[in-house]
Amino acid sequence: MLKYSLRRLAYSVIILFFVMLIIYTLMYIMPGNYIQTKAIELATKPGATKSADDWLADLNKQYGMDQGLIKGYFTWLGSAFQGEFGDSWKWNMPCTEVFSSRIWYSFALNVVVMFFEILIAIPLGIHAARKQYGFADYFATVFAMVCISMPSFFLITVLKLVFAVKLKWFDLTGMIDPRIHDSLSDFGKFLDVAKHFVLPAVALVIISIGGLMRYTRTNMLEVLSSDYIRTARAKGVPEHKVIYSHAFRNTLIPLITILGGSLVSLFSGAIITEQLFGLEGIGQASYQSMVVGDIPFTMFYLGFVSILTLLGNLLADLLYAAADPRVRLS
Amino acid sequence: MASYNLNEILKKRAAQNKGKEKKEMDLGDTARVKVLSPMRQVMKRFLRNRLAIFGTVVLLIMFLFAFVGPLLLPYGEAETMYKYEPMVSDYSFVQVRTEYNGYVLNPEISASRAAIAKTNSNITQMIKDGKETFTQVANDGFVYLLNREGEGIYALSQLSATKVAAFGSGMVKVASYDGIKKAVSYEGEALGADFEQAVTENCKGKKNGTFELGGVTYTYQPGSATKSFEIFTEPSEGVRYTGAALSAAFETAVQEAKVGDLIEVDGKRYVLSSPATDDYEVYEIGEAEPFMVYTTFAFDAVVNSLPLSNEFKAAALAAVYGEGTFEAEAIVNLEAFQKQQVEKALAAKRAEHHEVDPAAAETQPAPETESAEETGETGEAVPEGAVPVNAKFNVAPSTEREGVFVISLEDGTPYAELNNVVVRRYNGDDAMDLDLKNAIRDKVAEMMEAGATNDQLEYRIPKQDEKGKNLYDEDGVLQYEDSHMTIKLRTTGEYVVSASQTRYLIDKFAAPSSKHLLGTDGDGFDVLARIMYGGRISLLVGFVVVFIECFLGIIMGGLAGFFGGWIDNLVMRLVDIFYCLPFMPIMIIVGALMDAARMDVTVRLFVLMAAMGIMGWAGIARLVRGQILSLREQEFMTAAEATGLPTSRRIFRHLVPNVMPQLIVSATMGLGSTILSESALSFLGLGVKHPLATWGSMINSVASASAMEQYAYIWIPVGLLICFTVIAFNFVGDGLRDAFDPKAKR
Repeated sequence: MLKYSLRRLAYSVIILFFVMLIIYTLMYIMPGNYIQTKAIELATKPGATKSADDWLADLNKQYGMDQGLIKGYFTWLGSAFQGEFGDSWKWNMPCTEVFSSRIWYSFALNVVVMFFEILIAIPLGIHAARKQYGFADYFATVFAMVCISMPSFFLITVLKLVFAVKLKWFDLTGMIDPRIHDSLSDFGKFLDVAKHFVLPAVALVIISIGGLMRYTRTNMLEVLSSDYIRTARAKGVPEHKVIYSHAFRNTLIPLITILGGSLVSLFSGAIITEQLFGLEGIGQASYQSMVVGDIPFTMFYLGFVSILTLLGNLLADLLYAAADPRVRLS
Repeated sequence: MASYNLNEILKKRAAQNKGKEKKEMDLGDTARVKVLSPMRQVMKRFLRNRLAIFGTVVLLIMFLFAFVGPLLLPYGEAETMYKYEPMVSDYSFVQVRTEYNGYVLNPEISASRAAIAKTNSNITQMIKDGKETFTQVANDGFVYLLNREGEGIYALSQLSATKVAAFGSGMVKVASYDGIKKAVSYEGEALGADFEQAVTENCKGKKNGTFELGGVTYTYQPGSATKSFEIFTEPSEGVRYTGAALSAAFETAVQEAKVGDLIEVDGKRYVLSSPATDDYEVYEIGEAEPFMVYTTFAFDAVVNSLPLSNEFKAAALAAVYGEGTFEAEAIVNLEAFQKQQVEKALAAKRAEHHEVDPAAAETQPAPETESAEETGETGEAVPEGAVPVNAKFNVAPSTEREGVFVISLEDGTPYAELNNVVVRRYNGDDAMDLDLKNAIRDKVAEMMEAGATNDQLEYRIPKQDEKGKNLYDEDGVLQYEDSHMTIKLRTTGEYVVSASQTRYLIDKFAAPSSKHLLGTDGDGFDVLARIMYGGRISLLVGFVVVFIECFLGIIMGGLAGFFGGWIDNLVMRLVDIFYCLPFMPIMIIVGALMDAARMDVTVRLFVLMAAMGIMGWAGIARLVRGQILSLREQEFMTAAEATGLPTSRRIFRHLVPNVMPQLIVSATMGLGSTILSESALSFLGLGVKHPLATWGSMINSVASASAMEQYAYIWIPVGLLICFTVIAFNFVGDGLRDAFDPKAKR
């Protein structure tokens, strides 16, 4: 298992190298990128002594963009290995600082979402599987499908219309209520921020609930059709015991696997949701950086996300093997 | 011979056979079991799935809606809708004129500009002093006489002037001395050689001084030019004559008079001028001949836009308080003029029509000659009398309205009106009907009396067509519409009339109506049409992207699965890389990249589809490889290899068809998710761009905080369409999977 993990890790490093190369290339070839914009801005400032081309050359040198695609990538890679991710162009501070000032908002949001996702989706999925082809099953299936098929931006707009515009329970965007926030106590401030996280959390829960529910239902159905369940029933074990002791425990194996795998994604932020709700999380920061072509921060964030993905996959596989002794990793 | 009936025989045989078959059938007969082909089995299972049927129906409706719908709808994807709608705008202004406008009566007289420029202030002074005349001695040697002809009209004349005398308490200039030329020039009489010598002796340097000569004290002071001096004497009491002395009556008269007065003594007329304080000069003036006339009156022709020449105006003004008749060049045939106006308007419209209609222009074999003919026709079509002719007019005070003069033709037909309340269009044009002008004037008069700053008026104004020009019917009759006008007093003293007028506007954000079932959007596009075309693009993007994904996926997965070994390893690492690439961030970067490159919208659409396809093939490749790995070990593949089939045939004829079920399921689900991501990207403004319609960008265009409530009828149906389409694809995908392999783990 250790050998397997090490091999996977080695592969992951190679994959990561190419993934980052692709992202770097995309960012590098963006025409009219951030540096060009900045050069023109500096050259047209009153009292500017250098032309836009001179500024461009200067800035390219300053940002290490003058050495071509491949060399530039290796320069980035070299400094990244030393933990130097550079300053974000868009935010004008070190990438790590941007990251640490924002990551916890995203993390908190994702933790809450995951909690409610599990709380709602798994019982619903189990219930649907017990009453297969019944009304509850159809309802759950359709509901899950609607959740999966719902465009997040549409759901968010509907939520905003209903709860922010019509009912005026929440603000349309932002993390704080600027009118009262400063006058609140520390706990009041926390509640104010928490209030602004309600709608995003609801939106994310609705969007993510469907997948988990379907997964639970499918696995539960599979377990329920297995021989040992039939044996248990034949022995006269009470139905609720059959479901919750025998079946559910076995359903937990794949569930733990995917949930464990998605633990790392708690840190990855929700790009569209955060952007549309104006939450200053890592997702919003990355969206705004990507749109303006901020290479250091985009590289940093996408590198982070890629590592999370690779780690998540590895973790899921390891968990699967750990939870289910029938599975052998090779 | 018995009759032979083929039909009967056949029937008999059929009956015999039927009986035989029944007899031969037993319980163990395999024919008793109805065997369905695998395809029909799948079909049967699929049709039994209610959700799948629902999805299929929704998809069918969606396809009809997106691909057939636009054919039935009369509007295009980016076709701007227009509408006639009342729009309130500043229509005209009303001003009570206090400035006097000058009209030249006699162009042959060239007058001093300075004198003319002062006229308005002189008139103000006259009104203040209650005077009838005012004279002004200008520096061009003429005297200008302003004469009040009557209320609102003043005539300016130029008169010859000769200086006859001077008086006053100021110093009197007698001579000037040029120090360079050593010459003395006198103002009046020469004072002799003694004087000149004294001047030459004294006037040196740059100083003032005095010298005495013959009992008279002379004062000198430097003049404006170098080394020049001016010499003055103490003023003498009484009047100093330039020429012969005049009577005592003259002296008293001039001393009592003020500057500007007209002095009449002994049948001669004099004017005063004051070159310096308390110093006066008296001029004798000749006959007055008015050459300009000043007025606060404005001319309103009875017919809209009738041009009145300045000569006509001047002559009319001169006649108002004079003879009452005058002669001038003007268009007198009003009917003909009106007809001409209409012709012009219609011709302009026709010309425009020709311009915008290239097909019509092409069909004309020789457009040049044609247009020449046309202009010739219109030239001929100008009705006789629509050109200015010399005619006699009468001017008389209006019987109906106070302070208004009516100019009429010899036969008594009203021709124009003089009014000092000016009503003009807001842009300054004189393009309003006289009755409208008078209605506004009456209202303004009422307002002035009541001291009101706001009032309202209902009146008719000309209708406008698409181009903002006046609208005529087929008979060339101007069309009118009733307008609600509000009159407001501005702080500048003008009254501004804002009128509601029906205009041809882009039909923006129209509410749903029978014409536009879902209204129109911010560009005046029909929302229903946009939704249909948006559906086309969304479905198109879905299919193309999934096709690219499958194409790449099958090839790569097929290669990896079939050959195994290092090819498999390589392809799978590539798959891993693409699996690891975060989809949404990469698409956002690609979108920003396309934004920065300012890509054409159509090119952008293709690049977007390619990018999404390339990002999505890894899943398909993994699926195909997995399937092929298990299929490869089966007997039919060994058989295929044994028969010596070429590799490509084995892959694409034997393996791939067996992967098809899973592939179809995966592709159907992929369609849904592709549509979902495309709409999200378009919503963020990074996907398909305006003017191409897509569902995502349509929602984005009205999803701002201020618009989302008001235009819910635009974005909610669109959002639901996306939702339904994706759900339908997912249901169908689910149904297909269940149908292909009922026992498969979902």
